[in-house]
Amino acid sequence: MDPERRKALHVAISRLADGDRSAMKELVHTLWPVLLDFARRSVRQEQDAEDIAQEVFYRICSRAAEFDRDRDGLSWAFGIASYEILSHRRKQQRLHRTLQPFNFATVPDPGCSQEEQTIRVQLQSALATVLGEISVSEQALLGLNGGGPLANVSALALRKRRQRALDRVRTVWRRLYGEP
Amino acid sequence: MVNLEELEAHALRAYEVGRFRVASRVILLLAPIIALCLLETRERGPCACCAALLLVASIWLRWQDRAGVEHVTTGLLAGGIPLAFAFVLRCIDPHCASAGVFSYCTAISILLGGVTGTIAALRARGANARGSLAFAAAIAALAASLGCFRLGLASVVGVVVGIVLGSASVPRDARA
Repeated sequence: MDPERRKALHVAISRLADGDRSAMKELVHTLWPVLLDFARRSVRQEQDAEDIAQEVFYRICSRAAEFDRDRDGLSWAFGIASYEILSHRRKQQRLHRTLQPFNFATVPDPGCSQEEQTIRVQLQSALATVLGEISVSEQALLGLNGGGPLANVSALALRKRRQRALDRVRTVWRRLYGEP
Repeated sequence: MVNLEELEAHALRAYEVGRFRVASRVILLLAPIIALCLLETRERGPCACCAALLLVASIWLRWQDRAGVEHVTTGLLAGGIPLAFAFVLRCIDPHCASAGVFSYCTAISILLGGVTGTIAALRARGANARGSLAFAAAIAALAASLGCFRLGLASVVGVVVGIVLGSASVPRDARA
C-alpha cells in the first residue's frame, strides 16, 4: 500500500474513533480491497475469503471507537484481521477433525448393492415357480431335491433325459415370463 | 461479489453497537458509587433521579464522539470532589444535610463547587469552549448531587462561579 493511501486509511479510522460517522464511506473504499486481498491470500476458497473479510471488516468497525490515534491505522486493522483469520483457520481444523470419524460416505460397502439384491430375489422366486411346474423325476434328473444319477440307465440315455428336462424348463419359463 | 453499499450500512451498524459498548463501560465506574449513595442517603428519591440522569447523560455523551468522552471524564473528575466531600461531611456532622442556607456546610459546598467549575473550565480550554463546559459542568453537578441533594444544588452555584472564574483565567489565544 502506498503511503498516501495508508495515511488516508489512518485518517479515516481516526475520524471514526472521534465519532465522525461520515468517514465510513472513506474507510470502505480504502480498507475493504486491502482486507479482501489479505483474506484471499490466507484462505484458499474465494467465498470463504469474502465471508472472512466481511467479518473482519465489521469487527474493525465495531472496535473503531477504541482506536488510539498514536498507532498506525493499517497495522491496527491488520492486527485484528490476522487474529480473526487465525481463529477461523483453527475453527475449520477443529470442525474437520470432529467430522472425520463420521464420514460414512467415503467407506465402500463390501456387499452387493440393493438393486442387485432385489434382482437376485426376483430371479430365485421365478425359478422356484418354474421348477414347481416340472415333475419330481425331472427335478431329480437336474440334480435338484437331492436326486442322484440313475443306476440302471446308460450315460447316453441320461444325457438325453437331462436335455429333455432342461427343454421342459425353458418351455415353462417362456410360457410364464416370455423370452429370457 | 459484495455490495459496497450494503457493506457500509452493516459496518455502520457494527460501529454504532461498538461505540455504545465502549460508552456503556462508564457503568462499571458509576454503579458502585450510585449504589453507595443510595444506601447511605436518606433522600433516596432525588438521589435515584440524579443517578439515572447521570447514567443516561454519561452514556449518551460518550456514545456521541470523543469530545463527549472528554466531557464526561472532566465532569466526573470535577464532580467527584464535592461528592466525596458530602460523604465526609455526613460522617463529621450528620446535621449538615438539613442545615440552613447560611451555614458553613453550604459555604464549603459552594467553595468546592467553585473548584469543580474551575477544573472543568481549565480542562476544556482550547476545545470548543462553551458547549463542552456546559456538558462537563452538568455531569459534575449531577455527580455532586449524588452525595447530598441539597449540598449538591449548592455546589452547582459554585460550579457556575468556578466556570466563570476559570474561563476568565484562560488566555485569549488559548480560547481561540
